[in-house]
Amino acid sequence: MARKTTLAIALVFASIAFAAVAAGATPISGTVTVENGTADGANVTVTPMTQGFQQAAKPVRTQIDGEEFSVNAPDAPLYLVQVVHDGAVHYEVLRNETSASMTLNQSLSGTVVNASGEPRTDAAVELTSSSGYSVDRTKVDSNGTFSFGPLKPNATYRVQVTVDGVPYVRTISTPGAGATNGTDSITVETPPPTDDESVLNVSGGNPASHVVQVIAPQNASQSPSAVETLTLRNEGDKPFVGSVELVAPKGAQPYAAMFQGRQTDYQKTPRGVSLNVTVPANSTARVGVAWDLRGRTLEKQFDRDADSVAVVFRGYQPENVTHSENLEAGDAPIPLLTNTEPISANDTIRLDLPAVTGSASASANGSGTAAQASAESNSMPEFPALALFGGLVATVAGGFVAYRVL
Amino acid sequence: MTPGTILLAVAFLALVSATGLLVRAYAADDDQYVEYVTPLLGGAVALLTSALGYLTYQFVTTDYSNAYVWQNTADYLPLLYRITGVYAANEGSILLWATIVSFVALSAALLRGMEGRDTKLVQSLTVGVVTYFVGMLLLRSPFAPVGSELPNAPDGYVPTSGQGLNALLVDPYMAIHPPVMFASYALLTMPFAIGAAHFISLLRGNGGLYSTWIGSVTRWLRLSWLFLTAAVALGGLWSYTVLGWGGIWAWDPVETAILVPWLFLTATMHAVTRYRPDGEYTILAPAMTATTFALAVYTTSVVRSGVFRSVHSFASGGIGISLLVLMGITAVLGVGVPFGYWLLRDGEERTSTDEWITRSNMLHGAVLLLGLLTFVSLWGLTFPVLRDAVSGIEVSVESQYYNLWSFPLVVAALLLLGFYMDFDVEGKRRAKIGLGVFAVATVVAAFIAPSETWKLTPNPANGSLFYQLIGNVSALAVLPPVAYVCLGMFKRAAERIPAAAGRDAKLKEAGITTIHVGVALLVLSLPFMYLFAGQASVMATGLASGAVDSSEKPIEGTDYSVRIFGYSSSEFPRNPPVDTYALSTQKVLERGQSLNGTVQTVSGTVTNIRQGPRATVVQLDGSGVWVGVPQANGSSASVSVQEGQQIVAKGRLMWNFVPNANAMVLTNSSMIGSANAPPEEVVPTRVEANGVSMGVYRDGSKVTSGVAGQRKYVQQGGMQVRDVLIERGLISDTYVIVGVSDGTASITVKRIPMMSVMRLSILMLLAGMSLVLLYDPAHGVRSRTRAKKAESAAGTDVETADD
Repeated sequence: MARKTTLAIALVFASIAFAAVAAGATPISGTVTVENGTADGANVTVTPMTQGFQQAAKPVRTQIDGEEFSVNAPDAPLYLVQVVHDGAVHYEVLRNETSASMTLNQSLSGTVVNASGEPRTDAAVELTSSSGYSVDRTKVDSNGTFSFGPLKPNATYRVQVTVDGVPYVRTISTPGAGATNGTDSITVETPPPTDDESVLNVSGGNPASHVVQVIAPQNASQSPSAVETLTLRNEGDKPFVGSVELVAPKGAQPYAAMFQGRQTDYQKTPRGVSLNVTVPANSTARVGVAWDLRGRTLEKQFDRDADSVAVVFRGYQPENVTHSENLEAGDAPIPLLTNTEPISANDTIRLDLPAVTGSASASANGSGTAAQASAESNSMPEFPALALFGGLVATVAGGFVAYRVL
Repeated sequence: MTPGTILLAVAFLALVSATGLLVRAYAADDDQYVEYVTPLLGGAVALLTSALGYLTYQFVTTDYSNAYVWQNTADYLPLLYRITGVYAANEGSILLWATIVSFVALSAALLRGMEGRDTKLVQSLTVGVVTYFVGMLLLRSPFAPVGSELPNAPDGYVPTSGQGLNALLVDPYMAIHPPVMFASYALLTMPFAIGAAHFISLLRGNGGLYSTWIGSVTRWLRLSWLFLTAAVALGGLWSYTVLGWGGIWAWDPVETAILVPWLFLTATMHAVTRYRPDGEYTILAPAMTATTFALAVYTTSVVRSGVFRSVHSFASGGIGISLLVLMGITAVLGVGVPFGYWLLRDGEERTSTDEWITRSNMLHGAVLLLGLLTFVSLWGLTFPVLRDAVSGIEVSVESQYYNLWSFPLVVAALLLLGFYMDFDVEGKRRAKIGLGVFAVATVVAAFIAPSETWKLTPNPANGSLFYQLIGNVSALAVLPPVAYVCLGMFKRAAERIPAAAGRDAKLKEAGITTIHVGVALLVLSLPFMYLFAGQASVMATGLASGAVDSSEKPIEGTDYSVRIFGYSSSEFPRNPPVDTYALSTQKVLERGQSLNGTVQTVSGTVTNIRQGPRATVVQLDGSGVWVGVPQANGSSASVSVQEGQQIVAKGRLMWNFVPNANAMVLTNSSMIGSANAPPEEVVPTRVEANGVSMGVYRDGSKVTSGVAGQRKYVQQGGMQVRDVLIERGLISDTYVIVGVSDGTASITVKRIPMMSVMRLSILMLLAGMSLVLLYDPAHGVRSRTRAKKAESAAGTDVETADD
């Protein structure tokens, strides 16, 4: 009797233990304080994220009760906490912590003026958090002014004003608690844009300002392809609106182009492709082109200076690739080649790629670009039917023989 | 009260009386009035069948005075789908279920009679289940008048068109999958009744009845397993064709809900083969027998009732709460009573022998592993519900939970199965070596992953050690256990089939072999089917412009290409007869006042046209039905109808609106026209189908061709169903999904390997079980009838060792 009861209880405990492994959860709590107001009843969304800032599990939602909230969210390395207050969304990223504390006591006001200082009345303004998420958006009033708030103290925000489709970007930091080192009002000038390509430099970006991703073909009869991604920085004081030309690797044909991670239209030119881009002053934008290479050689002459160049691979091992001497193996978490010294216009890099044997593995590395995503979704792993069934039949037959003989 | 409800009510009365008489006879332990039970039950079966027939008739004739008919069908549907609409929603499904259960109860009554106290208990439980179902139907009848759904409509109002059938159910599989599933659930009622009655009998000191019913139990279990397997398989194949995602299994709660009883039923059958009245499994086998039905009801409740999901559905769901009560009853009888008996029974533990590796211990292992597999699925289904109830957060259980927890259990079960079969033939020492070799091979294979594709889940979202470990296991790990099972089964069959005494015994052995090899092939096919499924997409533009570019378009990154031959866009129903969507003047007058204020389409021959200052009015068929077309802002609106022409018009119908007219349909000039060429807006469009005819090529040679696209059900919230193109191949299926919008087709070609192996394995399961069900010398259906004929075993089942 006692043994059975113990067994029954043990079974119950086993179930509970099973539960903990089946889907672990972390309690996430936080406080949201609003100066001269309350966040009571505001919606809170906690999204579990991976290290790579991808959504890891379904978001959980709750509401603020008084100043506090608490939810149980599925286990994840990071959590993105979103609080919707007064039409604006405020963010906090939790790394290695489970408690969020948010104070909303700052504000930002601004005026949008044209080059001669007159207020502009047709501007849209968007406020973005330092993590890149949209916080709030508004339009200027008849005096050309706008305001946001309450906002977090000591926080970096990006203000993007758009007039006639042309963006103007400013980055501000709100003042800290009681301190004055911050901005609570700005004036955004909106000079007419330029189409002079010389204001653009290749600079910034991760892991490099000029990334060449080399993708192995699915089978040996096809040619590899390459995706070039350039981070363009507008060094001038006017937005750039116009077309830029990207030069093709030798013999390569374009098949897709992207701007800021989205596929876009392009025109073929004698040297490569040209695409329309918009880069705010003192800001960056990413452009990319996907090429089909001719043969297993990539030879690329640069037409712009680049402070850092990275070549990443999909389906190739860098050690099997023969490359020109101005490249060397890099020390990043992903296998890549980087430039030995800054590359200037008219420099050339060259890669000789090995032949692909069998089916190329779809091991994903390299930076996430739109072209990569679309290429990745096309995958047809070869099913080793013959080997598998041959193995099965051979094992069974071999087993028969083995039992007979032994 | 509608005729259908009366049929149900009379059936309910008959069943209540039958249950009452049985319970009385059981309590008093006499045979008074028991002779009335079978006729009452027969009457109930006839009444329920008539009710089902009547409902089907209402569906076929689209009698929209019945709310359930109105909600689940429409005139444009072909006959087949009008019939299948009967079980498209809860009420009709329960009626179907109840009818099948009543047949099961009647057949049990006819086969076993009412002799003896225990028999009466079993029969009263089965009849009780039927009674309960019919009671549920009375609470929420499939025969409710349409007025109950449209409280604001005038008395006697009958809609002229139905809401239509859920678009996903417009599929040939609909005709077969639900009846098979309900039949399997209904068949589980008998084992449940026997198992539960056994424990009631034990607790009352009557010694139990399981041993005398073991033959029946075995047959009912096998029959329900046969149906349940077919139901799961048909459901998987249905989702393969209709859902358009190219898979057979997605761990959807509804799918998991049917898998749980399947797994547990499989475990139960293994326990029952080892049942000895005074030896092993005296408690567990009957307990599991009773629990299977309780599990089926439980999982159905979880996914169907809505009660678990939200407390609010208590108010609306008559079926939900009834299912919940049924769940409570079956849980108490099927789980609580056996468990209580087990706890209370004087602990006379069997002394274990020194021998560890015995066939019965291995069977214990099989039952345990199958039980654990059931638990994995059951827990995945229950966990979100519990979590929701406790913390208010609804979490979804990812498929990787089911896959990664089930995988090692399945591999272990296969190794055990191989060992068991080997042990039978080779004896302990040699079998142990075999197990060692294959176990090592399994572990080694788990590390052999030629590419990431082979790994089960290379980057599991849950980073815990278990998921990391199993997620990185290579699918190749299934190969050694599968080979081991095949080897063991073949060797055993080669030895035992020739040695078996008589044709029946040979056939049974062949059946057992077929089933287990089928399972091994099924396990082999599943991981590869998912891991090696590939897909690639390509866009084709400029379809609607007429000039279709039929050049070959390569699909980037693959050796596939597609070619578009044409584009078609069509609407259904196509040129429907006027009387399917418009009321004749005679019908308008018949329905009279009840149509007042509703929007109707009417048709008739123009007999009079009067041009007024503000409106033109048209008389139809010389009757009191007129159509009025008001003129906008005094303009001289032209109504292009002539006397003698047959027209249709759609608008709001006003009863006694003007003097000298019974009904006036107020319309506008775009909603009136000739019946031969009716205006677009008048003719109801149900389905918009878009498709491209296309060919798929691999390395330049044709793989498949045909039409693929989608159907949009405009009157059902714009729900879309994919028409996929499937080329079934020996090694892999080619599966083409096309989405057409704005003249652009996005074409996705999928390649899914192992589908043929999976289909073969399902057939093997069904064929093998049919053989065992029919020819088992001990409990087979055929053997039993023959034995009866020989009058050698009248009354009770033959008790022979099973294997």
